[in-house]
Amino acid sequence: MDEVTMIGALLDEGGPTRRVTTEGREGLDALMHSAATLPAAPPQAAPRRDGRRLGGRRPFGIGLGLVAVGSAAAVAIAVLGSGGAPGSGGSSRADGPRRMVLAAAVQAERQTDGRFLVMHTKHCHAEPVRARTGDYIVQPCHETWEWRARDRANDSAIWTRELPTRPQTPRDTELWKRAGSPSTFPYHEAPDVLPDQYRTRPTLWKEDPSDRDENPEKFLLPGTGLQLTARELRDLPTDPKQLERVLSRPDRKRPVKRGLPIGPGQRIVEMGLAVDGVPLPPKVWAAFIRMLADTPGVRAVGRVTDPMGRPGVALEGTRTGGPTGSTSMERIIFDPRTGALLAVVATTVKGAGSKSAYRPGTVESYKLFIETRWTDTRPTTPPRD
Amino acid sequence: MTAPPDVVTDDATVIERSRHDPDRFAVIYDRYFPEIYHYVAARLGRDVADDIAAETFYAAFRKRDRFDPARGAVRPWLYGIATNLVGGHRRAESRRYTALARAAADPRAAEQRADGHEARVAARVAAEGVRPQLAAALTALSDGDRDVLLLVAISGLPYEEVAQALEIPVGTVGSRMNRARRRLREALGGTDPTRAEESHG
Repeated sequence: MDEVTMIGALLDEGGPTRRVTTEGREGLDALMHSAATLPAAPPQAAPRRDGRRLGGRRPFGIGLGLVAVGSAAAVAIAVLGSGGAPGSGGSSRADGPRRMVLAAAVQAERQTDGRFLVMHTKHCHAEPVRARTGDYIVQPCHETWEWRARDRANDSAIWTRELPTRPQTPRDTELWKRAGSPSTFPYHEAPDVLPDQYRTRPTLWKEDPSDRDENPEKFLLPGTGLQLTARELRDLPTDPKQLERVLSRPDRKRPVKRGLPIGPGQRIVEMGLAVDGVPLPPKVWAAFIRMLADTPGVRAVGRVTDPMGRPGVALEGTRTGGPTGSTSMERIIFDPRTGALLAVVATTVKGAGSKSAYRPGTVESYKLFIETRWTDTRPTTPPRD
Repeated sequence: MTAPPDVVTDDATVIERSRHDPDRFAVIYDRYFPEIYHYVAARLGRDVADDIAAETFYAAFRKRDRFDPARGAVRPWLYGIATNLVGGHRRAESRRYTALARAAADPRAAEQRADGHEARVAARVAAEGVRPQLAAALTALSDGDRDVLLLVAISGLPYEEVAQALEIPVGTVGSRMNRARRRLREALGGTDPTRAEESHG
């Protein structure tokens, strides 16, 4: 074997898996579709997938979780970069991003539902770790795979698993190593009670039997106090204003008094929570997107990428206060082809209180919708990796 | 997943048509994604390749207007874009080679590491008789020499296509290739005069 052949053999990692090929193709489909249907965006709002180059600074060999963070950070940078772009003051241009989000709502409306809604999600947050050698941030993540029947509230299942907790950025990795590369991390608000809450070791998929068929007879809309029958769910308003009235609790009109955060970002969080995991009919979901797009203070940001690097269109707003008094930018990202929810990402604008460890630009948390689909076949177990 | 049926089989024509009919570009993806992925994964590992290989096609799609068939074929054009993207990850790439060298040098230590992947590579590398010095030598090459060597070694591109991919003269490809081979042989502990300066491709 000559040295060139040996190099080829040494480096050979094989070809792509079907999953990777499919995901790459879906990303391309989205781009092609945007090129065919969406109005041309000004250069500063172009998809920033190349921002991934930032990820090159992370140490090699760290898992996909950090790839996600790398691109989420790139998303944050893309926002900061586009906000004050010169020459973007024309009203027709400013309407562009909003039109993109509304176009996604049109797509959402065209989707057909099935009997079961399957959702595969990943939730990560930034966890500050104190160390004598220098404080750093790790990112615990867990994955959830769940399904719900549309027509019966008490027909559902939830599977979860913990993903490896990793330092969030290359700098955090450096500090984690300096601290002796610990494999467990405490919960920062109660380190004595929960000294090893987060681990570098992942867990296997597990279904908690107590979570099976979790709703008794009605669907709970988290945070709203609403419990709806399958029929009521199906008959939710498809008009954005009416939907907003249904989802808004009267006592949320005075958030400061109740110690709740304020700002348009809070509205994104609240409303997102209200329909989290609820099998809404496609037309209601479309109304939900329009309702958020119409919320005062919520602005459309046009083309972005989600923490998985998928192209999307987004709405965002700031959220200030609550117990910590910090300010974050809350961004909700939709698939331009289907209107499906791709991710909700919170990025620090100004850290304070228990979030004072977060520097501006830190991705405080995100929930990623890896897959959301309707099916008529009863789902069984999570997909294999 | 396959591209929509397309009577046109010529790559350059597909790109030309995709300027007005974006969906056509899927044909290019379906044709070349596996080999571009293979190339990127060999240089950066599978984790990073998952993103960069797809990104190559997103970048290609965005600049499809600038593809000039007079300057070369689609395949080397894609390899050129992929190589540029890999170039944004030089440090990750060099860490990979260092890790491979370590794994090849001491497979048992690699097995004990959390990353079982490295252990598998080590086992394979040992079975094929690849020496750890070879991986280490890759880190010592200049970026330009490494790009040429790996386009040939991993993807088997002929010199003509390497030249198109990197936008350099064919003669430069030959001289870079010779220099890279010489370095590799030195790293393996000697030169083999019977094979010195041979051409490839």
